[in-house]
Amino acid sequence: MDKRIRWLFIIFLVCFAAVVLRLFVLQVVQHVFFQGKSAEQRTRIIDLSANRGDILDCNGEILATSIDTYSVFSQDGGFAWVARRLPRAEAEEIRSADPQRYFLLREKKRLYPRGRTAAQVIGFVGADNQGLSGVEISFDKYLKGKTGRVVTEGDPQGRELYGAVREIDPSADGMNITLTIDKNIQYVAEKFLAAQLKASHAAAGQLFVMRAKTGELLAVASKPDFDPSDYKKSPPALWHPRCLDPYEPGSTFKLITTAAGLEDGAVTPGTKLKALDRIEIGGKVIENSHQISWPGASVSLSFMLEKSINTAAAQVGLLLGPEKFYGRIRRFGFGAATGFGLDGESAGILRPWRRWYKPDIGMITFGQGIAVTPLQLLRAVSAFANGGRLVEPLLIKRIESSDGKFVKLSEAEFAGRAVSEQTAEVMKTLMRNVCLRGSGSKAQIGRFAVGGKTGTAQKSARGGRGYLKGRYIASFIGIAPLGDPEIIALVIVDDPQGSIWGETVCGPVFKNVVEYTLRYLNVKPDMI
Amino acid sequence: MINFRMLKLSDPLLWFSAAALTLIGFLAIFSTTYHLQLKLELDPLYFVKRQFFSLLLACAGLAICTYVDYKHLKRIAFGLYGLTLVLLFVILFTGASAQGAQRWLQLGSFSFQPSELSKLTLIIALAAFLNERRRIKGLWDTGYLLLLVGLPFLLIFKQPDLGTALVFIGILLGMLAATEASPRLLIFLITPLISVLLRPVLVFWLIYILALVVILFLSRASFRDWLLVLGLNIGVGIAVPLFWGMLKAYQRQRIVAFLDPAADPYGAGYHSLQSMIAVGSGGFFGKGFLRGSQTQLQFIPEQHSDFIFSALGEEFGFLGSLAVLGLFALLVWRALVIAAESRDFLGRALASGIAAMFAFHVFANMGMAIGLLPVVGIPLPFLSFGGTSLIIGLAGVGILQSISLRRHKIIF
Repeated sequence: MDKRIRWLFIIFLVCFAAVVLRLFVLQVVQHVFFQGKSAEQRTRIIDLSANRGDILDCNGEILATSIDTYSVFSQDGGFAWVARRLPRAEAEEIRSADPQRYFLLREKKRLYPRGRTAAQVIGFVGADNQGLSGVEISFDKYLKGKTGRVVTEGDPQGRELYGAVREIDPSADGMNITLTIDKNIQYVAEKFLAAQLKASHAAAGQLFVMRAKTGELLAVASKPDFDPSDYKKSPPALWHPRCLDPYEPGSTFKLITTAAGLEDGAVTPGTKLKALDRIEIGGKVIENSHQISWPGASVSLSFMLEKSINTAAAQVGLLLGPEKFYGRIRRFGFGAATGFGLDGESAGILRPWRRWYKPDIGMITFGQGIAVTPLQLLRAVSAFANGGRLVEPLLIKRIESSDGKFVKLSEAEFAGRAVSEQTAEVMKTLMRNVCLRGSGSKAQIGRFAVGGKTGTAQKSARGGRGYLKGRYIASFIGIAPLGDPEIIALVIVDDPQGSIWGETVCGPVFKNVVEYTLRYLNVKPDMI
Repeated sequence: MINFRMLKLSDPLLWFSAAALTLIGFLAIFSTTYHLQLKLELDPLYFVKRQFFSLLLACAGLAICTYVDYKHLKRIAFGLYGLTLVLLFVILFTGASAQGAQRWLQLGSFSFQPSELSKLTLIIALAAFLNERRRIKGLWDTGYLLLLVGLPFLLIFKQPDLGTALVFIGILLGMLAATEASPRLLIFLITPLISVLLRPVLVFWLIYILALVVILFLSRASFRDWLLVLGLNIGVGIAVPLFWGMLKAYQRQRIVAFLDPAADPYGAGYHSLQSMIAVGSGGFFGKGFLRGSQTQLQFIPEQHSDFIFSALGEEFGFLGSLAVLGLFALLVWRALVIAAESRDFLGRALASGIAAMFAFHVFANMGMAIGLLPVVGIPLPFLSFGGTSLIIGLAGVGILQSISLRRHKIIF
């Protein structure tokens, strides 16, 4: 080679050397980086959606289910929904307007075939079918199932490569949840409750029907409520199940006071309590809510309950003393949430006796200065129907996977003994007396022996001490039939206008709903 | 017809490198098209078959070029050149368009790329011209030379086919450097090219012009040299922005994308980035034949033609890439040796032109596949799918062999 050609060759070699150097950098030095890029580019993850489980009533009637719907989206520039959750025909019609721009996507839509029935218990789901309230959120982890995925290799057009599947994580459909609720009883409960709220111009109300022996909640009615299919139309406050929140139980709590006194021996069925129009405890004057026509200088325990006499109940508290009274109340389960099913249940407000104010030993005896959830009260009263043992309220009957593989069955659970069998028997008699001779007369049901107790609590001011003048919570809790208890029901009417008494506002509702329930369940009358 | 004694004088390493590269080309075309065709439910061997048919034609061309004494080329040089210009002119109006460029001439069921042909006919025309003038002197010679290159350059630039137009510059410079051109002429031609490269950054370009003034002053250049060098460079400096405006949007994007491919990974920089990912992920040993995921999943559009090297880089790794580059270096080296040892000036000019053509193609093509150079659409000789490219490549090898086996001035 002569000089010119050699120079030319050297120039070419320099160019080639630059290529070699660059190749070395890409393929050796930065190899790991580009390998990662390559893997990242071709990996496709395909989500396999799972069907959300259904929510059923105790007879398998569907309360919430999911159906296939079709959504339309456009993708010019960015992803945007055009219309969501339509029947297939409608979605395809929208798409046909511009098939190049619009695309269909199958989406599940949550359907609540019974509308507002048990809305607060069932709850609702959000735009991505995630549970947002009620059973839908508390049992979301069971209902939603498991989204599966397939990891595969795909080309730049997103097409999956045949035989390139690297990993399959199958989806699992959500589980079906069977509630203890019976849709028929629920319906009747809601109907009578709503009618009473309307008649009383009340702000809100609740009605619970519970099987006495198992704790199964046959109805959990709460009004006003919302439409779970269109929940955004109702104020968010209505989405929240009221039964999770505590309230001051008022005179229904005298049942607990009486049972505590009897169990402790501080009082007996024959104990005479002083007939007082007022009693001063710890500097506070306690009066009766209404004028009592005293039969003499003293009254019996039964009379105290029948006429719901605050001053007499307070004497039972004084006989017990704070420490013992507090201990008895705790043994009825107050101060601890029931765990009936829904998340977020309050434990109520029960201060330890050392932190009681002086008048509390009197106030608490008739259910003021203490707050309980309706479920706690139902649980406590269940002791009288079950020979002294507490029964846990239950909302969930069964959780079952879609393939029928049995998962979880809720069973009646006893939450300890509150009182002795004897005390429970005495309590039943006393509750019966309330209905026969006292404030519970309007709750009586034909040939069924009903026992119960009314309550008319002053509404406590929110966040502060003291009570709202002229604002009450009327309630009634009862057991039927007393001979062999089947049903415990609790009616609560918040802020009734006109008549404020549990006796008149709640008694008839209890009667109507429980009578229906007993006949519906074919319970034999216990009286001839 | 064929004199086998004569064939003994042909260059065996040149045969070897060309054959090996062609074979590798078939493997690469198979790898880049087989699965794609299958997926499209088309004949998976369609591209391989077409390339094989082209190879048959190319072998015929190779035999003819080897057998015929290259001295006859100077007689038909300007005829070929004229024909090429006509074809280039014709396809501006009738050519089949591919990706926005008119490059193909349809002849029955065959398509043909005049721009590929023009590379070889330009080499022949330049060789014939240089053979006549030997040493380019004066403005007339230079002007004639530039006209010779400029006509096809502009026609191809108009297609637009920037890559091939740039190949012409490489061929011209290579041939001038290898023959008797004065260093001054090379300076006149090369300094404006540097101006083109520096012009986008005005400050650099002004510093460069200042440096030229200093060099001209120190070398006591004549008034004519002052005028030529500064005139050309400043002229280019003014022309570049105008020329930039003439570029098609996609050409500008490609140059911008080359400077920063990651800026727009799915736009103009896509090709470059995907090619780099393919090559880089290949690693030292490669992923194995037909095992390159980027290649088999068709992340790189048109991979069987201009981006064939990305498939080789991915599937055969650094070692395979070096082997391919080594074969090309061998080819270029043999071509230059043949140029140096040729019996006459014409052979030297032809061989150096062909060497420059191959070298420029390899550097520009591989350079773009590995993000070293902007994306310009020129094929990798012997490897890229494309009949015209293969025929021209092997015809070039044939001419080189023709020069090689007649180097001893033996009269047969």
